[in-house]
Amino acid sequence: MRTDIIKAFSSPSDGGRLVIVGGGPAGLAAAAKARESGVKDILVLERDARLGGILNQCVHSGFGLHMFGEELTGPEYASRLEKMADGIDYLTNTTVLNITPSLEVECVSREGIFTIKADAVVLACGCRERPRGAIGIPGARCSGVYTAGTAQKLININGVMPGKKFFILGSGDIGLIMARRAVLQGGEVLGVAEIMPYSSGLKRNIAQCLDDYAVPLMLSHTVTDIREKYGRLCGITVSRVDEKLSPVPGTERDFECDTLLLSVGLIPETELLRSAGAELDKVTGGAVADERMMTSVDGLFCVGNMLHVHDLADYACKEAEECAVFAAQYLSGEKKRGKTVRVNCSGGVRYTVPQLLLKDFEGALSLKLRVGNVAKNVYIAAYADGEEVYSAFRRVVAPGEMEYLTLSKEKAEKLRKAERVEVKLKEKR
Amino acid sequence: MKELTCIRCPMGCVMNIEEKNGEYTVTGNTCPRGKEYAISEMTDPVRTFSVSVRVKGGDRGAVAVRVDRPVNKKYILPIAKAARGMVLTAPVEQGQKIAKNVAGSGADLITLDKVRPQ
Repeated sequence: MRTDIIKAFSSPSDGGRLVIVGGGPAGLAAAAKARESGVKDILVLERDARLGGILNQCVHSGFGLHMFGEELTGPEYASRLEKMADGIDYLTNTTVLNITPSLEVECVSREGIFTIKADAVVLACGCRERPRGAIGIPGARCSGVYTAGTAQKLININGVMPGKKFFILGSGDIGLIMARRAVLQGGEVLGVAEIMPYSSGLKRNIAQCLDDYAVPLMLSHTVTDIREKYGRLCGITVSRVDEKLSPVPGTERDFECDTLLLSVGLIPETELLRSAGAELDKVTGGAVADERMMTSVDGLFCVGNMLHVHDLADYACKEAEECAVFAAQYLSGEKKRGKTVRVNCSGGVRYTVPQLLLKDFEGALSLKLRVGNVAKNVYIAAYADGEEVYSAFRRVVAPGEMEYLTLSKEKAEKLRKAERVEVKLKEKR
Repeated sequence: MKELTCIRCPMGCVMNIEEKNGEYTVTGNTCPRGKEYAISEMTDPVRTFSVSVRVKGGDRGAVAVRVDRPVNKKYILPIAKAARGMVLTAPVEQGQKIAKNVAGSGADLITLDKVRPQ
């Protein structure tokens, strides 16, 4: 069966072959939608032993309100997506090593090394957690420091508790959720330190994962020392930070714990984008994409957390479905790129996706963006050659909540035809 | 008087709620949804949550289960403790009911995933 699939997809296609890298929420949603849009020759490649991606370890509920209209847990949500993509060819335990600019997809599995020939590729490889080395915490290099997602896998999949007494650095959603999971599995959580003056996690997670269990959230605090005994973490020091995020001497507090979880950010996984030669966005860490989610490489699309980190799996799926329709059009139509105009971000807006608008594109424009800081009573405004063509009022914007804008056909047209496009925050007068 | 953060929208209003003769007064909310949330938090604060249960002889060591209905907050820790004491044997099917009326909460525990025998 597997060898048949490998043989079939290693042979030249009839020009309509779509290969999807990643069998998580975005990849499965893209596969199902591509089939619905008329693509017949589809292959999903997944490096794990099963489909579903990170959903399999996200046992908390809150998934699927947008996609399925009900609140599901991660594994239940994954099963729904798998059903939607049922019958589409896939290979698990298969890692993509490289993608060439002409869309040859080099894979390795227990069958060996082989090359799949694609006419379009949708990359849906998700993201990675920022590790300890990337944030420079001083102190001992001992065991007992885990990323929150690693602890999540150990507890939820393997049934192993990585420690007894936890402290969590970073208030990203996975960190908040793991505070509750650790408590429910019999652990103790001493606190969550967040270097910023606000949490990057969803408010509902602070309420139902920390407040419910009396776990303190220490804003404007960070870990400034890690101590060890016999190679295992035995305590940490937490300090308050000033406006410049530097630790303030004299504010140190020691905590005795055996485990430190890190929830300090997610970064799109971009190895394959780089191997194909696609342009990357320095702010998102993912690909630079146009309105079809196509990268700077013809026929190479990128969606989900690999394009930019989303707040909800539902949003990643929605983006993947939109992309799948465009990928189907790309495969059936003329495979051309088209002229683009770049969206410039300033005045509090960190990035937009897409980064490029297509000059000859028609219809409404959906623009996703994040701001750099918390702001109240602001407009998010879009400008075409200096003229304001769109603005949306927000009572509050925060870096932790992605903003979704939909611009009408007429307004989108003005932006697409402009020489210079800008998106920024504007204060309410 | 109790202070709570509204979780109904990104605004995150900090609200105060006070009870007098069974009547609730909510301040600090900017919309009716905040008031609704604050009152539910005072009268019957419910949650849904998942815990993992150990599995013997499977291709993985645990399976997650969830409560099949929202339960009052006071049942969370007793339910979690009961679940920690359980051990299942592979195979485990998705959607399997592994415990009824757990810790007297009225809720059952349902598996979220399948575990194959090793």
